Amino acid sequence: MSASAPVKKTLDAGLADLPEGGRRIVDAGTTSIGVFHVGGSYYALKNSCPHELAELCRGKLTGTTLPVDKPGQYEWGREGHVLRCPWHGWEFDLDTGRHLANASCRVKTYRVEERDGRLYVEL
Amino acid sequence: MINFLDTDVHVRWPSNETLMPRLPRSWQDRFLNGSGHTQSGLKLNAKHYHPQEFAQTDRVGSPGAQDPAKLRDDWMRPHGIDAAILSVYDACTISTFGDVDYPIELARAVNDWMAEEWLPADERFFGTIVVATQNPTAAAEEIRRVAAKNPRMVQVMLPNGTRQPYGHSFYHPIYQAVVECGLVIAVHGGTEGLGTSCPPSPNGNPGTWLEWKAAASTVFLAHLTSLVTEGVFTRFPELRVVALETGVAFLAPYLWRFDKNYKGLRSECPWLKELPSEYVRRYFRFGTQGAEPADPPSEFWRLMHSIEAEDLLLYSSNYPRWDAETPDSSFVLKNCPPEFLDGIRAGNALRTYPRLKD
Repeated sequence: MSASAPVKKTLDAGLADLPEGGRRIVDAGTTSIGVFHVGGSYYALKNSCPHELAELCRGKLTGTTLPVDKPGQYEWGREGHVLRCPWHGWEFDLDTGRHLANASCRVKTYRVEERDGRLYVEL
Repeated sequence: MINFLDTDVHVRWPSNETLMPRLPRSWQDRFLNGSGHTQSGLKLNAKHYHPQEFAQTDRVGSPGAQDPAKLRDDWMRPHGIDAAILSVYDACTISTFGDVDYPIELARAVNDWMAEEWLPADERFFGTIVVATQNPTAAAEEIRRVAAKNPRMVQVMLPNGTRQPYGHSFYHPIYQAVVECGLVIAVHGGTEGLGTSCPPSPNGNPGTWLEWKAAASTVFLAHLTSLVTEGVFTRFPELRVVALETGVAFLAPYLWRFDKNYKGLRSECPWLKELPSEYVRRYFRFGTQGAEPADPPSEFWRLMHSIEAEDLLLYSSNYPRWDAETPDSSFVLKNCPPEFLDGIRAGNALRTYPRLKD
């Protein structure tokens, strides 16, 4: 980070040693944040489902049947980029935090920076 | 100009001998006398306690109007009704017959009778095509045959009681023909548990007529849910479904539930791009006859308003059956907020049935 950049509030999310497909839940004071390592990139989401506040980031990281135009057509995709809430199965896009059944609903996402072998979540 | 349309009027031949000559000779005895364990005509016994027919003997009304002039003089003119969609009330029970070939012939006879005896009598009469769903390919052929000859046939009527829900691909040939011909599907209550159809409750057969009547709405809700989830409206976006005599006040809370479950289970139906309630609002309409009277009536409108369903209502009388609702006795019409009245009397229907021309 250059000296002239604005100071961002960051959260130390531990060593950058998450295996591919791995995750870590990090305490962030009043809430917690899930950090995921998928396809060589890091993602972070608020660990709270907007539906009923379940710990979303403990849910299954999977793919899904993509929106299609033809009934009876099942096209699997977004493998590793769909986070399903462990309570009611709501699907969220790992990259955008958007609920797949209702785009107006989304969970907060955070940028993750890898620096000096550690992960920092920009709050 | 149609300012007031009755979307559910029933007509009937004066005696079975009137219809019989329209059937091939091979089926005439079956129609008049029944055969073995089967009944005659359109008569079909329920598998459960079903005192409807007995109860009706001392009630006013009849299965159907028998004379075009009388229908105009006794019903339409006194109530200011400009036009009516006619159907044979129990004709759609043929889809619950165990027979395979007989109901196909019977559908042809009923459709020809409607086209020859009623449609020419008055240009304000619109007709209903009946089919035997046991054979969807033959049903689709029959729809095309009748629709091509008769531009004032506006709908295909299916029974509410069935062997499987209407979203099933088994029925797709019927929907294909319906949209090709510019018709709509009307589902009429009254057949639940008859013939080969499933018990009117998924828990089994009812013990009383009261139980049967009250639970009939749940049968239609199963069709509505199936039509949406199976993607019928994705496949046939021109299709419209009109529910007659199956109620409507339950719609709002049911759609809250449908939407709620979709949010967790979208991945099962990836062809759905919107909430189920959006599909229902776009593709379904509901007759006013049999709508549930709320106390106070404003509660009914509050529920309708909560899902913006006021413009899904179409005036339907069910005339001349015993439970017909005149415009004055219709719970919906007599309590209707003025801004929705024109739509319910005609506008909503004119926007729903492609063949309904002024």
